[in-house]
Amino acid sequence: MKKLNVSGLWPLIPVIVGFYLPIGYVAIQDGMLEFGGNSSDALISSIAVIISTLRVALLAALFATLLGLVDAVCLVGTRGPARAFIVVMLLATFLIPPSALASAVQGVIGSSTLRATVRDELGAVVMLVLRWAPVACAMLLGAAAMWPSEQERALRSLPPWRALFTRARGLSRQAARCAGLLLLLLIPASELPSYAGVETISQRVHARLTVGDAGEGWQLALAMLIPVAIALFFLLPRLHDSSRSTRDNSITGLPGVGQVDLLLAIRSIPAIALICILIFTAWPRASELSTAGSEILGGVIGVLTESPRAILVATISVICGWRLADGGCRWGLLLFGLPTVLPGSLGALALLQSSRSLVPPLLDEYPLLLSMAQFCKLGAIGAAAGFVASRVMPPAEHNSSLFLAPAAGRWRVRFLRSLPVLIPAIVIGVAVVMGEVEATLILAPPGHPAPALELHQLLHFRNDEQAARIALVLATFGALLATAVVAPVARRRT
Amino acid sequence: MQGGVLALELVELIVTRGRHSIGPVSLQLAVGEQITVVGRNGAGKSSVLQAIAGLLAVTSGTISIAGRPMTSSSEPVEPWQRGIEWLGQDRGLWPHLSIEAQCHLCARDGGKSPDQIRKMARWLQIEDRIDRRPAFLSGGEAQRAELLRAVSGAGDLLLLDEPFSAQNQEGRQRIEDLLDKECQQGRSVLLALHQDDSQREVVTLDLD
Amino acid sequence: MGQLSRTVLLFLLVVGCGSENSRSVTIYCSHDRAHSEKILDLFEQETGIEVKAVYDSEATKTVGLAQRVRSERARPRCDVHWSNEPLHAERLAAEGLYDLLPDGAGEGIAQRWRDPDGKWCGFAARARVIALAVNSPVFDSPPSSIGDLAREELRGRVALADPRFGTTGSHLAILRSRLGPDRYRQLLRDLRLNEVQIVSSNSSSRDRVLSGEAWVGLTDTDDIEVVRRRGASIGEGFLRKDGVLLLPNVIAIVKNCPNPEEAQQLLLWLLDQKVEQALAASSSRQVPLREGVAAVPGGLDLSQLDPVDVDWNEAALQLPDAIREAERILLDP
Repeated sequence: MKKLNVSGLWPLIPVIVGFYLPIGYVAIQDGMLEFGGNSSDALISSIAVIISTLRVALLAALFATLLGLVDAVCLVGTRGPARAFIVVMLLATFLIPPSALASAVQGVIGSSTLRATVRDELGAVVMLVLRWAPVACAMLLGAAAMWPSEQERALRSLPPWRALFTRARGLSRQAARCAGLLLLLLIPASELPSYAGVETISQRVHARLTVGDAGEGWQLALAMLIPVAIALFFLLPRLHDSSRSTRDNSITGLPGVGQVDLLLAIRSIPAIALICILIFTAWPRASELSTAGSEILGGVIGVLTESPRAILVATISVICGWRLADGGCRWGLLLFGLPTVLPGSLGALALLQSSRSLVPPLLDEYPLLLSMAQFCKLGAIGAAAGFVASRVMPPAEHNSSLFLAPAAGRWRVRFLRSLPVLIPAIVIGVAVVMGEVEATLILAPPGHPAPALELHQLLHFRNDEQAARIALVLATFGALLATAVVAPVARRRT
Repeated sequence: MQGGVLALELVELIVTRGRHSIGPVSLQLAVGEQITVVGRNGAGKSSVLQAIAGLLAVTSGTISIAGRPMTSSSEPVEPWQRGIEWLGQDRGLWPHLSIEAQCHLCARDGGKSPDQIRKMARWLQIEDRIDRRPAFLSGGEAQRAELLRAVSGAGDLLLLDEPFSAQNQEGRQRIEDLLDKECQQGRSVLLALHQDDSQREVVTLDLD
Repeated sequence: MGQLSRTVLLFLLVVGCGSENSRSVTIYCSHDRAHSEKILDLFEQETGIEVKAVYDSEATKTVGLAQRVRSERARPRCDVHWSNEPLHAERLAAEGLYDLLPDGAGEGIAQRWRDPDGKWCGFAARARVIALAVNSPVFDSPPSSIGDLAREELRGRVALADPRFGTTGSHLAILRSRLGPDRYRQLLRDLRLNEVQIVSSNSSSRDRVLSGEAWVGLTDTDDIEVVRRRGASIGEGFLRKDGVLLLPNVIAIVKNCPNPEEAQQLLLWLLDQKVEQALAASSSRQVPLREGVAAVPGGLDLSQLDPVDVDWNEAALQLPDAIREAERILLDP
């Protein structure tokens, strides 16, 4: 019924230029469309891997969302000690790259603790849940921050546990969307599953590319992408049939529940333990003080140099995703989010192969292509954040904004109102960019700081101490960013 | 706008909300006039106002605003293009902006001047509140503030859904006086009320 | 419009100012960063040529730098490719991505460690070895061939890195070229029946041995040495019945590279005897490929290892099939 508003599709331009056109060009060049005997054999033999990839991603997405929902409900629904600290700790751990997380988890638990055939998939799911639950928590905290005042007050008049369950049910639709986002982000995950010894489709694609068999790699990736795209299109409900507003921004009337405090304390143990392991590992011996100091300084410089770009890429991606969602364009959101599903290496290689010769040599030292690839990789985060934000704004506020000129209504009202959801999404995006290695390895200009890649190389060489120092720097940066998430949802003690 | 052109005309308007069909409704609102749509709870008053504002799809019938058809064109007329100012039944103040900022935002394209906004705020007894954000207003103040925001805009047709619901007698009287003044200046008002004891023309809605 | 053009001009000015006139060379390096970085720093100090290096990551997490070289074919950024995978280098050479080596490159290194067409030269090799758990029953009578890893007493006790990546992939391709397809596939089937543990990398294979989960882990000499120097207790054995497999580092100049002069200078410097000596003395414990280079204490000497002869071209041709078959037999559920 509503005509497609073409002018609202400008956020798709970078994704088309940075992803779809390069992929189309390279896929044809690499013979993606040439199906031979090997291709069909590979596809058939990969069905089991596709299923296992989806199973691991689905389980991890569901459990991470469940954990994040419990975290978010406990944090917004009760008052108690050290709430801001817990949020900061949870989110800071997300900024520690997966390699360090896996190393620490395996170092403490030991892969031998998890036994038999379930060990591998279970281990992968556990690590993925540990890493991604804070993302669900951050998004749901953002959504809860837009809870209508009157509903909030009514909830505070209920007995504590009933209120908590009611809150959880109130957030359940956003949680379902969050699980969908995590699923998209986890399907191409290869790093943590590889530490657990789990075969994923991304690894299979990497294997094909490594031996120079790019055509078959593309076919495998498409075999994964097409069903996901179709499922997403039908699952993505119509936009703008909203329900939703502003939370009462004080803790007065919130119950203090001892069990919840205990639950949150237990929940924060893995995060605190991880930080402690890193501190313990990073702690220098007396003879290493100056080396450690210079390593930490190097890490700080690397993170500080790289973080503005990461923040810029993540911010633009989230704004573009929000703009598409605000315009109510389902196709646009789908196109924007799909690049996330493919392994990052594929998009990066396509961009490199198709576009590098077009970039003026003058700009060789600048990470333009890298930023573009990472922008495309963040599509699902931007799309999901935009989707959630456009649906948690109260209809009365939304409707009022429609009587303003489009730009004023969009940017001065709806965009600013959506910030409680968009800011956590930007933080998540920054963390993803900072921990990203696939596109970085392929596209970063020589000498460009890449803390996550360096961490990989150090851990591979068992230089755990230096790796822990860089991971700590990243975690500290994460803690600072996390305060940006805590600030909008922080309650006044009135 | 003057000289026989109606501010609003509805002809056999039918809208659908959920499984319920509302209408047909026909009315003619002349420039400078006020009409009240009344009906019991759930009769569809708000739905009719939303359809006029472009917030709800029209099942059949026509809507013309200032002589301009809203329903027959192949290109949908967006809410902001209809020359309408809106006050919804639920509070729709934007919590991140002060009342004054919201009024100025709505008044940007030919609406009231800052002085006029202040003057109206004084009349509505919220002058000392308009530099505040909505969270710091009482229910009645918030409703008057939202009305102030609607009146600040440039649209000639005011659609007001239950504008007196949170007001005492004095508050209601002040709003009525303000609306009368606006009508004298060439604006027209369509209200949705539970009941109306005033002298305004009334259209009664009944749900089938 | 005026403002836009001023902004573009300013941007170009800033970009222009950023590019310095000093000499530089870009290297893509898949040898361990901890060692190669120090060596490249030394080159910088000696020559004053700035080295811009990109270091590789494990291939299970991403595709390797060889693929980057391939994708940059239209406008190469890399001058020198230092690969630790001779088979990937051989494939790149066959695809016409490398230039001919300059005269005199790698003097003293035997022809068996070079590309017959003169496009790459090997130096400082790693040996494929088995890591042995010190308290395991096999510590005193370790397997001496890869076929022994399928012995009944080792059921479920052998760790093998993901066969599609890294040196394990190369190892399997070489095995396929030596054994022939049928015997190769049978070997894989035997390993699968013996419940070999497939792990993400050579270092994980070693770690499984350290933790006691596996008694034997197929890995490289450098992976063992690095933990030994940190005090870990772990045994090391060679599969002598098969012949010791040495996988050299490989160096080549990328065709149409942006800094050919500096590339030649760096290549010749890296192929110098002192670099082999430095790598042999480091914890990567590489094997010098020049006959005359003295072994460092605790290091490995080429003359004592009796390495197998490898037809690099044939093995590189076998690589895709070797990997595809390993994936199907060892990894498919």
